[in-house]
Amino acid sequence: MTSEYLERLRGVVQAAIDAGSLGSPRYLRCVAGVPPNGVLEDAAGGLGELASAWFGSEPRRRYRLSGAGAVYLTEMQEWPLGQGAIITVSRSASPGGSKLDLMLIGSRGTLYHEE
Amino acid sequence: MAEYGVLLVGGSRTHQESHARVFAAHPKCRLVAVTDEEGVSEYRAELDRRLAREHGIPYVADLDEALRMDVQIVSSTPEVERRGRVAVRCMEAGKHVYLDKPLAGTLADVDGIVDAADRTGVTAQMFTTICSEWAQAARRAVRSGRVGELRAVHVENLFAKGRAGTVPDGAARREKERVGRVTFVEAKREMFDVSIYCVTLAHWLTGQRVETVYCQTGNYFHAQHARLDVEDFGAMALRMTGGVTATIVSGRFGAASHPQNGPQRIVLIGTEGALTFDAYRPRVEVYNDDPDFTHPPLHLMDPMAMWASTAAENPPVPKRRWAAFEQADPMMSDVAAFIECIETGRRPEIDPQTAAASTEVILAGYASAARKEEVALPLPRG
Repeated sequence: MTSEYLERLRGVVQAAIDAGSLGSPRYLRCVAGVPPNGVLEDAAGGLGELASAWFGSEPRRRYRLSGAGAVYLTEMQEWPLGQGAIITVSRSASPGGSKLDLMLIGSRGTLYHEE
Repeated sequence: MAEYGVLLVGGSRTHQESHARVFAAHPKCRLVAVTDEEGVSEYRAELDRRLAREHGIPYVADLDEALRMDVQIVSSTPEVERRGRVAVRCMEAGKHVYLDKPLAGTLADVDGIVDAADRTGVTAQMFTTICSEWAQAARRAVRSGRVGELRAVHVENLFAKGRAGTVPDGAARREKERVGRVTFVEAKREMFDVSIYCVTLAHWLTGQRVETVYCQTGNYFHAQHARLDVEDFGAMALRMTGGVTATIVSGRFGAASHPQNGPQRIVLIGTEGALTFDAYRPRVEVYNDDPDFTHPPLHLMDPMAMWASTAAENPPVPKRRWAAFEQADPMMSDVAAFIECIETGRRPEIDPQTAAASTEVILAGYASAARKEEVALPLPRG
């Protein structure tokens, strides 16, 4: 889940949005794993930037859950027009454990992506 | 000769359609009659009679009279607004009760069911998906420590039914503090109806209880829900005892939004890694030139395609792209477990107390979504 990967993902998802395939994007659910030496905050921040790009603005409300020992980080976000996101990033046990499972729910269709 | 006579409270266009089919297929059960409360509308009574006709059993208009028949089990699926009092009457008549989900729509009704079950000592169980293969696999993973010490779970269940894309754009939902009316012909409160599966799985997998709820609801897909001022989507973040947390995503996002019935998924996050369990994994995928799913004509009495009976009147082109390995109806194994509990005296895993805890979480979710803040459990009584 490199920044280059996220940028390419942003573009292909934006193309689906622009084509009207989803209707209006309404909710993003992301579950991602980062390598043992990865930074949870950075990964969650990168996914949050994707959400802001697809929803067209910054969230106005955030609610965070995190576990002891920095095993994972979850953030719920809400946008002014009612869109929302749940982003969960957890630490993988294996160095190659970086992965992303994403569902972008629109008013008339849903986009699924798994890295 | 079957051992258990089963009385059905509630008929067509309720979950009794499924309950009746499953109880009728159980080798130790025989359907006795369909009944309902006295004074139900003629519309409801006709739907009750319809289910009775389909199963070749009588319709008994008086619930008390029906409870005096040769009945040991009641399958109770009235509308949410009537579930509390019906369940209590059946329990007080000494019947074992298989309960529709969620338990009820108010704390008073929920507490009443728990109290009646405790007082009467009958066996009672609410339907959930804990008996499905993918949920059982997730629980085995938790118990075997495959993710280390469990720290968080994510559970999602979105029904791929109804014709999405009809809701007007641009309005954030303003949630109401109390759940209020749930049941309408055109739609229902979807977080209430669907997230019960997810919250129950979170309780069941973690063995913890919920301490706080933070929730967001939405009108994202369906004009019918927006017109009735009921949500078609809900997401919750739960803080649980033992330092565990859970996230829940649920709703009804439209038939065309998924290759099958909608995502049903559990993610376990522990100190040693994360694992995902999916109702559609393993699966096969088939692509050919057969026509893919198309919406059936809109049924005015069931535009969300909630009921098998209305779908049968105008069957849609079935979805055949995905075929999951798990084909069994989870209600079959859930009812089998219920019968086993009656026979052994073992307490059902989703007994009224456990079901009440999950229902209360959802009720707290509405309060949280209305206030835009975290809400602590238990909710105040009175």
